[in-house]
Amino acid sequence: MRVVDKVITEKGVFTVLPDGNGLQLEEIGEGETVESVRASTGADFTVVDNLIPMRQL
Amino acid sequence: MPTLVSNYVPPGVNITLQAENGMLGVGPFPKSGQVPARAPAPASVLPASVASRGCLARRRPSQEDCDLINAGKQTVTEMDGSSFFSADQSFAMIRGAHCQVTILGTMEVAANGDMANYLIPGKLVKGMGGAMDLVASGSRVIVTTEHTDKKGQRRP
Repeated sequence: MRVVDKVITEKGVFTVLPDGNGLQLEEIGEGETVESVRASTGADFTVVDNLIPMRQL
Repeated sequence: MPTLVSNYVPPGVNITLQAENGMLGVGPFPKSGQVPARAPAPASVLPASVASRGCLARRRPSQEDCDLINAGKQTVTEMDGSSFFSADQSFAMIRGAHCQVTILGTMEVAANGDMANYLIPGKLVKGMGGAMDLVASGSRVIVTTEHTDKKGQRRP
């Protein structure tokens, strides 16, 4: 059973892909790079083609 | 962290937030210090213990009321049309799949979307609360969490 759909942290927004395809980074936090997020994330993840900065209100 | 959401609903966006402790229409945190005036109830009508709790005072939105809390025991405010109910009604809404989106905190999320919220071996974890009901309800689940642990290390 799939549980979590989306994970939001201060470093980024991840979508949990269906069928066990892992996490996908779709928004990235201020001052972070894909490499820095990867270094502080235990799980592997893919990156969406149109990665954008995390949206603020 | 998930309870901060009620502070960031932009004007013009109309959603009804449920707090599982028994409230629909949760508003933002009150501005601190805006405590409502005590109810001017004569002592002969109400026992002093009731009158002094402030729950009978007229509340204006954005006023702080220590009896008005969210599931994280933080003071919140009411929105127009908000309502209060018991835990059995609250979980009937959740288990009956009447909530579209669940936002909750957690300890860890696995790459496949599994979530750890239950225990840390050897430690007492309080307030796992209604998470099991919420994730089992079929609603869309959004996890909000700090990216790393307290030491800044990645979560395994």
